[in-house]
Order: sequence, then C-alpha cells, then structure tokens
Amino acid sequence: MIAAAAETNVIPFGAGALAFIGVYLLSMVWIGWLGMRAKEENTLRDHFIGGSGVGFFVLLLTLFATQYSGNTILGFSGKAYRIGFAWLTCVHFMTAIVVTYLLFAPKLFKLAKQHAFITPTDYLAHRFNHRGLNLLATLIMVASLMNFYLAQLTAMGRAVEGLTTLDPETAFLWGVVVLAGIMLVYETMGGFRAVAWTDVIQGGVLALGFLVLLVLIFKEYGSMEQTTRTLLQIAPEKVLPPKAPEVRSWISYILLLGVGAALYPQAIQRIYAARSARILRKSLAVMAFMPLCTALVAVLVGVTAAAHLAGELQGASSDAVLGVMLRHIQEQSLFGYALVVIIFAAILGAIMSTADSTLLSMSSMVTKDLYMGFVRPHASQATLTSLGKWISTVFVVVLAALAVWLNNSGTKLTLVELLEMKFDMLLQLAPAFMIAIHWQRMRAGPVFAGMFAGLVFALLFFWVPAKGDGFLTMLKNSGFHPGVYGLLLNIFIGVTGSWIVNARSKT
Amino acid sequence: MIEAKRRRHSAFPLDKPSGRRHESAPFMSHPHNYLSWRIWTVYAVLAGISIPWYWPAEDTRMLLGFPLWVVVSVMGSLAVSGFTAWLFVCRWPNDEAEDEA
Repeated sequence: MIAAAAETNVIPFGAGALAFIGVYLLSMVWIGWLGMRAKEENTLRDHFIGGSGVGFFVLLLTLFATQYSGNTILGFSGKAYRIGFAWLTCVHFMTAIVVTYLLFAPKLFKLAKQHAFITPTDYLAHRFNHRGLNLLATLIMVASLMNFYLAQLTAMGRAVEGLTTLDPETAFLWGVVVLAGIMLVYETMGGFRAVAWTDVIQGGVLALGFLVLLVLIFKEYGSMEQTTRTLLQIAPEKVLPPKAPEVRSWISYILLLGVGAALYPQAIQRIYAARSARILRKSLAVMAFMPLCTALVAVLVGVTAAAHLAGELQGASSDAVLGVMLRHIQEQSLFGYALVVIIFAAILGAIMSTADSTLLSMSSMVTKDLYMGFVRPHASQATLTSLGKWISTVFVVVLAALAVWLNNSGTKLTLVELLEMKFDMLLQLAPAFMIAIHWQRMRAGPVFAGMFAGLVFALLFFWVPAKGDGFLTMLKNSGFHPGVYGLLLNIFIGVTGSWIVNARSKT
Repeated sequence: MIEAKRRRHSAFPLDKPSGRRHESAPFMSHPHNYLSWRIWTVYAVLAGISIPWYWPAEDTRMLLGFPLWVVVSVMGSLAVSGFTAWLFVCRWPNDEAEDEA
C-alpha cells in the first residue's frame, strides 16, 4: 500500500545472495517481455488495463501485491514498535478497504465493462460530463500517486543501503536507479500485463515472506506470552487497551484508509481489469482475509521488537526495527541468513509491485484524462500509447532525481505521516464514486464544489497550529484526521447542493 | 429457475420473507443490495465489538499469550472478513451476474 522509507540494517549480502536477488529482478524483465508478446492491439485499453482482462489467480495476486507494500512489513512493524498493540487498528483499516468495495465495486465493474473505462476519471466523465470535475479529480489522484511513488522510490534506495559495502548515499543512488530502471523496462514493454504478471511473483514471494517472518519471530524471541509479560513490565502502555483519544484515532484511521485506499486509482483500475464479475467477487472475498495474514503479522513483529529491542530506535528510524531484527537472525546461522534473503526479496517485491502499478496508473491518467481530455481529443490510439510510455519515463526520471535529492538533503518523514497526507486528499473523491453511483440525482456542480471545499479544508489543517484554543486547533487535536472533516463538508455540499439544484429545476 | 434456486439457498439469515418488501422487491434480489441497512447494521455491531472502546483502562487480562482485548478485537476482525467474503461470494447483486467476457 504505502512504500517504506526504512533502512534494512542487514549485514551486506554475499555473492550468492546478490545473485539470487539479481535473478529475481531479471525475471521481472523476462515477464515484461512475455507481456509484450501477449499484446493484442496497440491501444490504451490494452496497455493500461490488459485488454479483455485478467483471471482469478492473477487478479487476486495483483490486488494483494498492489495493496500490500513494503510499508505493510516495515512501516506497520515500526508503528507497532512505537505504540504497541494499539496499532492493531491497521488490521481493521486494511479490512475496511475491502468492505468499502461493497459500496461501489459491483456497479462500477458493470459500467466499466459496458463503456470500456480505462481510468477512474472515465467513470466521472460518464456520470457527470463536467470538465472541471474531471480535471480536479485527476489532479487529486495524480498528486496523491506522485507522493506515493516518491515514497516507494525512497524505500527502494533505503532497502539497498545496507546490502552492499558501498557508502549509504552511493548505495541509495544505485538502488533507486537500478530498481526503478528495471521497473520501467518491464512496464514499458508489457504494460498492465507485465505489471499484473510480475505481481503474481511479487505477491507470492510477499506471502512467503510473511509466513517466514511469523515463524522466525516465535523461534528467535520466544512465545507471545513472554513478549506480552515483558512489555507489561517495561512499557505497559503498549499492552493496555487504548484510551478515548486513541479510540477516536482508530475510528478515524478506519474511515480514512478504509475509504481512501479503496479509491486508489490503481485499485479502481484492477476492478476494471477483472475478466468477469465472478472473478472479481471471488478475488475480493479472498482479499477480505489478507489483513489477518499480513498486517497482523507486522503488528506481532513490532510488538515483539518493542519487548526485546526496547529503546534501540527512535522516531523515523523506528521504521527500521524489522531490519534490526533481521540482522540478529542473520547472525545466528546460515539458515537464518537464507531466510533473511527471502524476506528481503519479499520486501523488494512488495515495494516494486506497488510502485509499478502506481506508475502505470499515473501515466494512464496523464495520457488519457489530461492530454487526450484537454489537449488532443482526437489523437490516435498508437500515438497515445506511445506517449503513455514516455510519460512513465518522465515520471521515473523526475521523481527518482527528487528521491535522491531528498535523501542527500537528509529530509525524513515517518511512513505513517506520508500515508495520512495523501489519504486526506483521496478521501475527497468518495461522494463522486460512492454516493453518485447510486443516487442518479446527484449533480455535477455540487459534487465539484464539495470536492474542492473538502480538499482545501483538509489541506488547510496542515497549517493549523497544534497548540492553542481555536476551534480548528481543537478539531486538529480531536483524534480524527483532517480528511475526515473535509469529507463531511464535502458530502454536505454535494448532497444539499444537489437537492437545491433538483428542487430549483423542478420549479 | 436455477437463479431462483441459488437465491433461496443463500438467503440472508436476518431477512424474513414477510410484507411488502418481499412481494415487490425481495431484499437480496434487488440490484446493489449491498446498501441494505441490515448489512450495515451487522457491520456496525462488529465494529462496536472490534474497536476496543469499552475495556477498562487498566485491564491486564490475557488469553493465549495476548491481551484479552486484542484477542476479542482480532476475532471481531475475523468475523468482518468472513461476513464480507460471504457477501461477495453469495450476495453479489444479480444484475452484475456472471457476465464472462
């Protein structure tokens, strides 16, 4: 879901392990080539959605690999290290994402098949036919994904930092360049097919990584009872039930991420890409159980580290807690070393699988919704497909350069801060997708006004002081995210505005 | 015929076939029935159980090596997953039927 910006802190890998990682990465390029050979036609839909769509196995693993990223392993375990069992909320908000699909996936899938949608904005254009709304929604989605992609490029660099004997800055640079380069090559060759097929490998390795991680944690650090009792002694607040402000934070996270992540453009495009309703509903049914196999494991890792590695890491560095644990395991035996290599491959796969789908989604929206929508509506499909590939290249070059520059300048944010900022924006798309898809009398003007007002209101909170007596300061400290307040305003404007417009048009 | 049989077998447990609703628009055969208030009531109850708002602040009871509130919360999440999977597999709105491409 979110990329990780965390050091792995493992001991530098030997030639064998690096060769294994190299073969793993080259297999992605090979899959990209297979995707290119499977191409049916040189059209936008074929490149960005995979033509007639994908089957159950591929859809399930591409949904899984796209939704669960390096952050699920690194960021979630880091947060659980900081706050303890209270981060169990991540299991609930990851489940809430799948629950949210109930609200719009069936109807959106049907419309997508009927009208050959490619991007999320295609649905908005079909539903509202309002250029301002199309532009605003596209800009929100592209801005959110740029944030997302940047974080993942940073994660790629950080993941590689500890693996070689190079100095950290050089290793970071090479990590970003090589991994982003490989991703760009296979995506440019095979488009959606390459991304979805590589997700099968990446998702498979990710699932294996979680399993290995679960076994290793209990083997190396003892039973959960021992961990819980130790934590009760040294940091009881990480074991006790959350207090009222934390409970409000749970509810806010479930709303913010449950709704916001369901609206990720790449997630919506995977709904479009299902070959049939049967395949989509079965994939989503399996996805409903994934948080218990992934996010919950990450919480157990973080809590175990909090008990056994107390005080070793602070702030943003605590996202590296898994790396510290892996280093301990790596030092134990050759078998432990081999398992760490598998977990590392899982982390790389998790980061890349989310990054590639993000890149493809950004490229599709700029090509289809901005260039074709506003600049050259009659451009040929071949021209647009070719342009889409160039746009991917530009995104990779610019954002990779930015990631390297930010790393060298020493700017650090914890992963959860990055996560919240973009969800505050994405959440503002909810009325247009989840209410308007059912309520045919919802009007374009009020939806646009609501989306704009909700976005501005949510973003303004970043400048509201955290201390003081003002109303906005009180809201900021209430435990709910700014995006949730923005969404309430957004719904109010969209719904009441539509009622007023409808009433006036009757008279 | 087959569709009607399938629908009967997977009837929603809380849905009593009574009154006008059943005659005019059977609860679960209505398009986009995921908006049913009954479904979201079940989710509200499960969320009420899963979110640990009702536990005493100093509760240190444990079960299976975990804090008791964590076990209850995870069980609640498992129930949400199971219910959601059931809705997707058995209750997908009919007008989105199996339109294999």
